[in-house]
Amino acid sequence: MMKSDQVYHVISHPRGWAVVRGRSHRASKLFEDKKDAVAWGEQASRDLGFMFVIHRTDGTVERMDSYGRESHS
Amino acid sequence: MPARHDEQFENNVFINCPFDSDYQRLLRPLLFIVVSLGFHPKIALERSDSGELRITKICSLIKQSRYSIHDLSRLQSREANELYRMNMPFELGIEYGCRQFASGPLKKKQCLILEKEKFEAMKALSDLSGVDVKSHGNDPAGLVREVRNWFVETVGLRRVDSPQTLWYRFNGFITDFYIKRRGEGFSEDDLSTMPVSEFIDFIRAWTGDQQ
Repeated sequence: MMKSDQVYHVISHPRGWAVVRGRSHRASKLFEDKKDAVAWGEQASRDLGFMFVIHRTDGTVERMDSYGRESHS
Repeated sequence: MPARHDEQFENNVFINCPFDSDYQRLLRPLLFIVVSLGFHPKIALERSDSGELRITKICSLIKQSRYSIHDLSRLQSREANELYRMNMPFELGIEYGCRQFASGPLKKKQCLILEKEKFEAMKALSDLSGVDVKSHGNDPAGLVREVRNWFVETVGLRRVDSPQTLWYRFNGFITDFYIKRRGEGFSEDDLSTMPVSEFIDFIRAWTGDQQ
């Protein structure tokens, strides 16, 4: 399994959607729209070879991709 | 062994909530917060013995728990001719009666009452007038915030992570839950219908691994 800090999550936030790296307490970036958060997080995950996880508003997994060596989709 | 019994009583949290699939989006973060703060959720779904009367089980869980969380957000019927759901206020009444009329440790019982929108529950249950009821807005992150804040304000926990941190952690937990269980052959349906006791075990194992 990929290291927990090599993941970007798109998570619902009171001001929209947050892109959060691994188990960080802070968002890397905040967006009003989910599609913008997904675009930024996906590009960052591709650039860094990270896993990318998009969550629904209840926290469940909507989509998961791995841009590293292992596949989890 | 009284000491062991007291320790369990002090850490048990009776969960009084709907059990339909719509509520799962709130139930799972609720269970996660209770377990990750070091408490034991006691919920009617934790065991399914067809020979046990439901009301007997509910009373037993209430008696075993110092704390309780009652979610009254689903009192309202959603469609014409649909009846009100009375189980949650009924069980809150048992909890209140237990606290009022029992003696010993049961006098120390404390509870959190949740609703969807502010003052909504009081419209249906005016006896709650003057009682502090917290609203979660039907939002899982809002529920995490209210439950976390109650553990700080009322239970007296200190040095607890922020609501936002706990919400992010729940999302991380769900990711690991999804990857691990899917890897073990569980389907999407299996994950959404997993027995509560099995889900709680997974939270316990995960939070234990994080420490």
